[in-house]
Amino acid sequence: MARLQSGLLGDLVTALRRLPGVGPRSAQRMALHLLERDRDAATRLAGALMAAVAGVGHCRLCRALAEAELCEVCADPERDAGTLCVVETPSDLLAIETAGGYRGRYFVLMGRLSPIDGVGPEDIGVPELLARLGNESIEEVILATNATVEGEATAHYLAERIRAAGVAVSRIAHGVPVGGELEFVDGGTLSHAFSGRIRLS
Amino acid sequence: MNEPAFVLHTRPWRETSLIAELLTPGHGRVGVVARGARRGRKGGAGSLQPFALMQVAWRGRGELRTLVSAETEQALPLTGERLFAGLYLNELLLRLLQREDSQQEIFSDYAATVARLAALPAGDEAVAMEAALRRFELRLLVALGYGFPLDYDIHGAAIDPASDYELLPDAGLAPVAQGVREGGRTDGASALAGRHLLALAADRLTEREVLLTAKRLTRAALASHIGPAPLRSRELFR
Repeated sequence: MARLQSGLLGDLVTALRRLPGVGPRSAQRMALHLLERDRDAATRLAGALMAAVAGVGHCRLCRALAEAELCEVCADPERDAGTLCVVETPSDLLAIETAGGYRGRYFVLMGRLSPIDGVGPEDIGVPELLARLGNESIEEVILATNATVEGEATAHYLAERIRAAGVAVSRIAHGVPVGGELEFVDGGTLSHAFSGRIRLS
Repeated sequence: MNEPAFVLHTRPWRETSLIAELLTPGHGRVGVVARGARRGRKGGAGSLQPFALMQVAWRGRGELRTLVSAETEQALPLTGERLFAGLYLNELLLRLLQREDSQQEIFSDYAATVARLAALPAGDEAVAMEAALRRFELRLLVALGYGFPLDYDIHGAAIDPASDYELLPDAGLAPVAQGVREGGRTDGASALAGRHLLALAADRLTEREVLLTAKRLTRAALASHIGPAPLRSRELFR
């Protein structure tokens, strides 16, 4: 199949290929669809992209994406300012928001400690997080990093520094998923579930 | 190929796959692509975590193999500081090992060290953890052919407990001349006490002082082989 490689169309295909999961063939299909079938959508997409790139920045407090200086969660006076939940990525924040039940605020690391990849404490905003503990009246920090080796290392590193700052710190539990059967749960999860058991009263 | 393995590191690749660096006894360090490992649970990323003894199979040849199956045989969960120690071991191996260079002893030493770290009693683990890391480093240097005697100096004389020594890269321990030391050319901090070196040679890694000397010794010995970039996992330790 001949590829569209040069000219305006070629530029569009190359730009679309920057999207995650879009290879040369899908990019070409998208470009042809927009230009042949739906020029209206193409104009809207272009406008929305330009506006979003210009208007969306990072929240001054939690580092999540935000249109204003503060994101909706940080600006909401109803949210509990005494609880701070630390997550790795904005999609983790969205997952917790979708699950509901959490009424505190967030801090997004935009990554995790990974010495082998050269990601150290400064790269995930640890100084900014510790500064927030000093500036605000935060009573508890909930560490909701992933249950991977790097997520655990990040949680342990943060826990030591947060404790040193005199703030209570907790880690989300890992264990058997809701609807899960023990027989099919892997050994690591099961041993976590046992060490993190709770007393029924 | 079907082999026992430890995962040293994984990184995302394409949309749903991972590239994992494995440590195996028969093939040393092996790079494999785990297709679809980030999607779904079955045989997914959850099973490709470091610090678990696995049974893996791969096919293909060249730089990157294709992972066919991976099953966890024994998870060795590391927590807290021990996790940092484990990440340090992994970073060290990734920096020092070439791909596809069979290293039976390194594999068994690594397995034993991770198991020891996992079994350390909580709370009072600092000294035992340091000792485990230093023993691993010393054996790793020997296995890679960078070893040197700890009880004899480069002139073949027995180490004198009352003297100070320094490490000459790729040669061994050399006595620090008394006059030079007093003249201030070699500061006391970089000199290695003979008494501590003999304790190391006899595998007595219990005293704090001996452990400090051991750390300076292995750092100096590893420095010329890991290159100028620092090991980032050292930043995690306080």
